[in-house]
Amino acid sequence: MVTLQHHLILSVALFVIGATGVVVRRNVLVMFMSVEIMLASVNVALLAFSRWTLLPNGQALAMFIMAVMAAEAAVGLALVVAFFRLRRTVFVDEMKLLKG
Amino acid sequence: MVGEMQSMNTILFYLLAASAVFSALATITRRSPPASAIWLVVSLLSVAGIFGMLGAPFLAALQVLIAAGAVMVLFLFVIMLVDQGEESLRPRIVSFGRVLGAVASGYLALILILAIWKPPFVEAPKSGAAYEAPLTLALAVVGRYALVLELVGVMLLVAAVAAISLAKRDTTAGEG
Repeated sequence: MVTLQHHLILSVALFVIGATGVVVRRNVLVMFMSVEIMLASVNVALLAFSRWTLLPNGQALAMFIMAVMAAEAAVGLALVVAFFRLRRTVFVDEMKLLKG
Repeated sequence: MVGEMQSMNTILFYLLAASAVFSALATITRRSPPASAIWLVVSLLSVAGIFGMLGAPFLAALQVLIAAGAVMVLFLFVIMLVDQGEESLRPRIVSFGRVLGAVASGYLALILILAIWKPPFVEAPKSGAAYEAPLTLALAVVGRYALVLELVGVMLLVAAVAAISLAKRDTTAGEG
């Protein structure tokens, strides 16, 4: 038997793994990947709620979150490329200055 | 027969969930970014399987196409663009801040699970073909959420323009 709580616990597990990745990793690319994991975990929770209430609202929201995920990856990776061109590093502990 | 289907679904759920969690852990623990990216693909594909089991086949397809496909190709391109070989594989440093971060994440997991631990624990109601049909989702998206759909379109356009202008080599620098 698979209940709503099974899906929510899976969602919590993935979200926390993603959050840990953002906190402990120094490579900005891996931090972005962790954010992707967190977004996927939110979609799991939304679709589970949608399935248990039989309303399509959660599915619609999950679709919009996927669009946001694509936009976030595009802009974030462009920032990484721009920063790498300037400083030759992808490690966040070397990103200390606001000026160029 | 129905009971057999039930236990099949349960086993499938646990398999997909275990693979999603394990490969997510591998994503954040591998030292080389390309390995992390490949593990992330495995994790996102497992999540797509979960989507399919939740009666959302269209979103499962989108997850494979967009998240595990397009976004991951972008990630691999950027990794190859910026990777510095040996420099990117520096030894791990276990600092106080990072241990604290992991412990805080564990605490977050604890309070989140306490928050969702609300009986009754029931199985999903019968869904039927109407719920699983992409048409239901489409009608919601172009009906109730039409404005959101337009805004998402504008956001994607802005993001594309922003990505181009950010990543463009500044050819005018040093002239003015």
